[in-house]
Amino acid sequence: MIRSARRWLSLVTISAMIAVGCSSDSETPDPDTSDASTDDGATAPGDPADATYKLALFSDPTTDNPWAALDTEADIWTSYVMPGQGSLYTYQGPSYTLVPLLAADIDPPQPSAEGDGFSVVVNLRPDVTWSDGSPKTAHDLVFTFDTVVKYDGLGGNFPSVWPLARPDDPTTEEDEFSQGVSAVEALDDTTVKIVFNFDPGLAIWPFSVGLAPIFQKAYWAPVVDASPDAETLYAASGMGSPNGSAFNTVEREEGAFWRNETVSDYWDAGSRFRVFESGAVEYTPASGESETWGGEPDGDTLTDYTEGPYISEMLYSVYTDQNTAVLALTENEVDFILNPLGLQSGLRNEVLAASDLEVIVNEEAGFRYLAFNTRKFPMSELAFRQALACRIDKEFMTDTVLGGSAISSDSLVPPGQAFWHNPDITAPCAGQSEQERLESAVDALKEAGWTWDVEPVWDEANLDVIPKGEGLRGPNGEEMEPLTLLAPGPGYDPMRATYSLFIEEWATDLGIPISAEPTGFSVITDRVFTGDPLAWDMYILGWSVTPFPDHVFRFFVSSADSAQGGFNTPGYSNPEFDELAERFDTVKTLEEARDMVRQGDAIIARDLPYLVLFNTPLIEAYSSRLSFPFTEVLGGLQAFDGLGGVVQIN
Amino acid sequence: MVVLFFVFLTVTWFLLYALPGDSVAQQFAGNPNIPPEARQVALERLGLDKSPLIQFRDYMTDFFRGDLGVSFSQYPRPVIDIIAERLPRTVVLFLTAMVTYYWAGFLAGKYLAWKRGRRGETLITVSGVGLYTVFMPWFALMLIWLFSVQLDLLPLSKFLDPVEWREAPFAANQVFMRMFWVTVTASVVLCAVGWASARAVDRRWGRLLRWGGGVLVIAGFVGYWYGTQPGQAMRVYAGDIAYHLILPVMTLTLVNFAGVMLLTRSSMLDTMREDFILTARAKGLPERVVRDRHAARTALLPVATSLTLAVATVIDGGVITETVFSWPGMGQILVSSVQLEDIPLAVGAFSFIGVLALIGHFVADMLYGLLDPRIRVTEHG
Amino acid sequence: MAEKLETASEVDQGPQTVGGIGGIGGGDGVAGVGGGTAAGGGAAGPVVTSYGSWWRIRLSLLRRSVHDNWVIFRRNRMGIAGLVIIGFWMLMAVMPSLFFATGFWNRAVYDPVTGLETDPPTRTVIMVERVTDPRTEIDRRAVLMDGRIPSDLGLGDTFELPLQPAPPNSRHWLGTDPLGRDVLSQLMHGARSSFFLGILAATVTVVIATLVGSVAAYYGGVIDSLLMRLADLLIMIPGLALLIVIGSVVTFQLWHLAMVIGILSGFGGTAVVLKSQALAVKVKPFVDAARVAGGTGRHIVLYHLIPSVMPLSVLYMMFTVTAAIQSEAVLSFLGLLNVDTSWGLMIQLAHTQGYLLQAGEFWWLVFPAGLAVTLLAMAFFLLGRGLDEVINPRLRRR
Repeated sequence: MIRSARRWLSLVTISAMIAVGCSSDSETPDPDTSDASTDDGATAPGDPADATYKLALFSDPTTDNPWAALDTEADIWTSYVMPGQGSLYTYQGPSYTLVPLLAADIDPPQPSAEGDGFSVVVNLRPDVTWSDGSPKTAHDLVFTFDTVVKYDGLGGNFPSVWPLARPDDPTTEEDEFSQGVSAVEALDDTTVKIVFNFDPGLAIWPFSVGLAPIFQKAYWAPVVDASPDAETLYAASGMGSPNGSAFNTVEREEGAFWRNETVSDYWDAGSRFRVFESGAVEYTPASGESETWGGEPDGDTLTDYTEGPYISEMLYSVYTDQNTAVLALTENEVDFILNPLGLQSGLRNEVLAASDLEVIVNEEAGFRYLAFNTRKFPMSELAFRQALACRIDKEFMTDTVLGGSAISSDSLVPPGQAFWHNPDITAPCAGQSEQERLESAVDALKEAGWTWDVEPVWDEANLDVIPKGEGLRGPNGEEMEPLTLLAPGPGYDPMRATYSLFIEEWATDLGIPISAEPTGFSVITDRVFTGDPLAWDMYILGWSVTPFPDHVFRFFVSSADSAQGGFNTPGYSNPEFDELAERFDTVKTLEEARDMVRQGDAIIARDLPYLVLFNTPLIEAYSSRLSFPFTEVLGGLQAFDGLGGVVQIN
Repeated sequence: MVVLFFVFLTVTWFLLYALPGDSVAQQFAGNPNIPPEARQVALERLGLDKSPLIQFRDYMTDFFRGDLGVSFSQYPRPVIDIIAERLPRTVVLFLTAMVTYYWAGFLAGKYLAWKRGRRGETLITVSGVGLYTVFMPWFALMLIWLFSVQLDLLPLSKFLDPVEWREAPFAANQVFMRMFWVTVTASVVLCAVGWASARAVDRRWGRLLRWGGGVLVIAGFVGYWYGTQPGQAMRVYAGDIAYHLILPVMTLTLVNFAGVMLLTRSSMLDTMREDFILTARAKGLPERVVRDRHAARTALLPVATSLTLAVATVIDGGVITETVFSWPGMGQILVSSVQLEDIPLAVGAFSFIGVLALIGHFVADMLYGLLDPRIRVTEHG
Repeated sequence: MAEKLETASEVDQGPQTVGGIGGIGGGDGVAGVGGGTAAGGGAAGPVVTSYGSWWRIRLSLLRRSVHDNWVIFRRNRMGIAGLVIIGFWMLMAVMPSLFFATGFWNRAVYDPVTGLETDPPTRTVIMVERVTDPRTEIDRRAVLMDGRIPSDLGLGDTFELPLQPAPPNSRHWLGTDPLGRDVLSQLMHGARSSFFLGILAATVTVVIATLVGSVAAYYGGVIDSLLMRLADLLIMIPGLALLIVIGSVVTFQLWHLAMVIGILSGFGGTAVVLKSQALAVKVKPFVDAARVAGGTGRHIVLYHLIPSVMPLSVLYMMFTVTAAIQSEAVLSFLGLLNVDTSWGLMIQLAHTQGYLLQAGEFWWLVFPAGLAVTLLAMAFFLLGRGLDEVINPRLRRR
């Protein structure tokens, strides 16, 4: 008999002692540990006040290496906290206008033929500096490109921002160079020449290469020289590495927090930005002449602000539960929650009721859709897709079933992207009553030669389809196999799960034997993107989209069929569309590109390889001690990583 | 046992391998910015382009060389690194919680058995069972709401306060490890003192030893955090962690003590029918002494065994607690690695659970033999 | 070695319990009958008929012992409370069929999955620039996103906002959820899922564990060590983590979960406990008698060991039900289960949609399902404890 009872007792006592004994200490913190970071404040105009901008994350950033953050660690949380490297051009909020950053040319120079390929010569601003104060030059750009080449193009996001002209590309059958950048040369410190092996359209220049991050040669060259492979480079710490933003990462406690400190002399501090409704931006540097970017100023002023930073640091804390993060927000433990999905609708009341919080609602940059496998009967039949789309009452779904927590959507480009969005697109049978929808669907199928054993009829007395359709046959008498609709389960996304059940019901009324199958997210993606292209019928998933809407083509061009590893899951193939996509690849002006995008969007809305279903509003809340220069912006404030550079703390 | 462990690893590995898609597909499918050609690069980099048997062979070869590989989702970070970061946090939280709830459960169970049939019994049992079966994530959230928001007594979640830890000279894990060892040392010394005092020939000496030793250990403990380096410098940070420890430990205690309580109660009731209890009572010993010295000690046997075994399930039980309290430990790693199909990390985490389970079983066996003379005899025989 | 490894409370008392009492169908009297039959039978043909009479005797004994045990059980208030709660939920589980059959409920409105209240109660709200009271005001910006609200509404205008989730009203006694579905109907259907899951999991557990325990105890040797190593393996695997893995591999349905829980616990911990019980019975004189009388191994396992282990199995069945119900809730909470309707899913919806924090205002989304999980799990647990007292006389009140 050992004195075991006492053993447990003593263990407990001791643990309790640390807890109680020391917590009394923690409540009166040492003055020299908690306020040590304030004396190295920046000297930019508006002198960054001694203020910490506190943000909440839902997941731990997994690396502090900016290279890895673009490749293997390309998750949203890491990108939120990682200070931007800077690029030649960038997007200006809230209009998403493409504006120069390192480039001095307001409009990206047009490529000109040179030898076998094409090249652009870009002049750089001489006054742009790294966060360590050294000038950012053409050599940094050359170094970045050479590094990508050294590691054979790297992975993740790199191939899309730095497409390399490489021989024997594994994805092309022919033994030829893939289209890409073949060289980047520094003509002098502020002039750089980018050589392409083809005539690049807007999608590549400037909307890929112009937005490619640039890394500092002085800091990274020794690391790259010592790294025989990308792994070694990625394993190196990037803590405090110079970057192109107003912040420098100084501290990180994994699983707990991440801290970015304001740099002492941010080059763009004090510059004034005025953004007009037309998307034009009037830029007045702290010292120098004002310039107008992105066309002629027109319409209301969306925002007018002076670049900060006005804060001393950004402190990101990790909360793995959404509810505790919201509690932290209401308790003023954090100022803002960074989340690509915003707050859930139920939390809206909670944050609205808090007097010291501001709540904003914006449209999400994306869409949820229903995809048809057009390689298989009956999804291959246009009439079938149109009839089913006609039966799906999107307004009823979003307004009644989903209770206003979703926005009905018809276009691949969200209306928030006003420049690109095609306002003329309407869904099949939009605005019709349920009876009219049924009748239109029946008519559409009949017209295409489809037949029923029992034709579905709308019963006005019961306000239902009685009898339901039975024995539906294709135009050549083909019988209908039972179809499966893959949709995320109610545990993953209740909205899409419910949507799929309603689609099932509508289709069954019509005599189409669809059964909705709640399926794990990764199971769906595995089946439709990499599995047997004939192994599925329909599925519901979602995309979030970039400001430059080349996805309209990349998702549907026949050369990108998912059977070949591309994104065209429906197997959509339309020569008219392919031809348009080919022209889009070489388009040179935004206006032309816009017309093509609108045209492509309309074709998809007509042919329905995808049926766009809905979009969700993005609800965000922030402490009322913050003030932002703008809050009405597609994708919300999270799309700009919380606007640390311009936020002011009152 | 080694064979068992190998089977366990194999089963886990192939289960994970059988997951639809792979780590790369997850990244690829969700992000249209990643072009298809990047997929092949990524597959080759992670070795996923080889056949499963070769992958498995390579993994196992490395595993038994002590190399757990490189995480897919936090590429190229070694798995062992991630586990080394997470394990102390989990261990500190759950050891504290377990000691607390075993202690609380044992006391309550002892009381229940002794007060059999009295009024409090039903109340305690029903509320205990109610807490035992309560839906934990919701209950934890309500406790947070009550203690952190309404009463403003305890921190909301997380294991430290980022504002306090700004420019901390220590990594959190250094502090965790330090707290762990200091506490364990103090406890071991305290136990040794207790053991020695009970065996002291003279009763008065025994008492002196007990009290004196106790005070000395506590003084040493306090002195460590106040008088020595790095104890003194770490004190604020250790205090902060301890402060954040209270709420999760309290939640786990409330939810789990009933299991121990009921176990102790059955065990006590059993013991109280033994002859030696009757003898003790016949000797005219006070009830309290019979209860605490004789009955409770014998009844401790199954409780202690179950505690040892529970150590193995620490990580498993952590999934919900760690998520709700934003406590980045092994439980979170387990869920996220499986969801991200990060096979090396998941297998690494599973193998640690396996090792813990094996150790738990081993210690349970030892303890059983040590505590129960009957078993010792039968095992010799 | 394995016998002393289990975590359950009954472990160390196990070996001494059943022999002493006329538990549910267990005990020496029964054994005598069984042994006699075996001795008399011998050949295959006669055995069949004598098995029939064997069962008759067995049944009457069972009836008697059930009655005796009921008397003991009745004194256990907690066990009775458990039984009452279980009864209540059984009633709840039957109700929807009744409601739908009588037309009291219309499927289009009250279906737990696709039901929809198209005419929810409304609340008058006024449009403002900045909301200070979400109960009476609505945000100008939110309006732009919400298709239910006419777009010509201006600042200061009032509007009848349909409530979804709607609070309890005459049509929906427990209100509706964020998707406009009746909460009461979901709760009732959830009770069905829980019973289905719990009882299936428990049955699988008990069938497997009883067989494994008895076989391992009787035959010993290689079979025993194989089965017990398997049990060790399963005990070692963290259950929840394994469920998460399997949940990612297959599209998890309720009965999958039941089978997995059943198999895990049947080959794992429960088997170990039941084996130690069977071991204790194996050395009883009546088993020796049966063996001497020429009973085959299969016969002894089926007619002596399994019946003796049965009472303890029933007890473990109760605990498995509790575990299964809780596992379902946790897996649903993590979004890993693909079920149409369950309590766990109801809580998960309230959680992911952000209503869990507003337990005061949206109580009907949070409490019914949360309490249901707790209550039913608790009821089976209490019932188990009640049965424990019946089976284990040492725990009985003196």
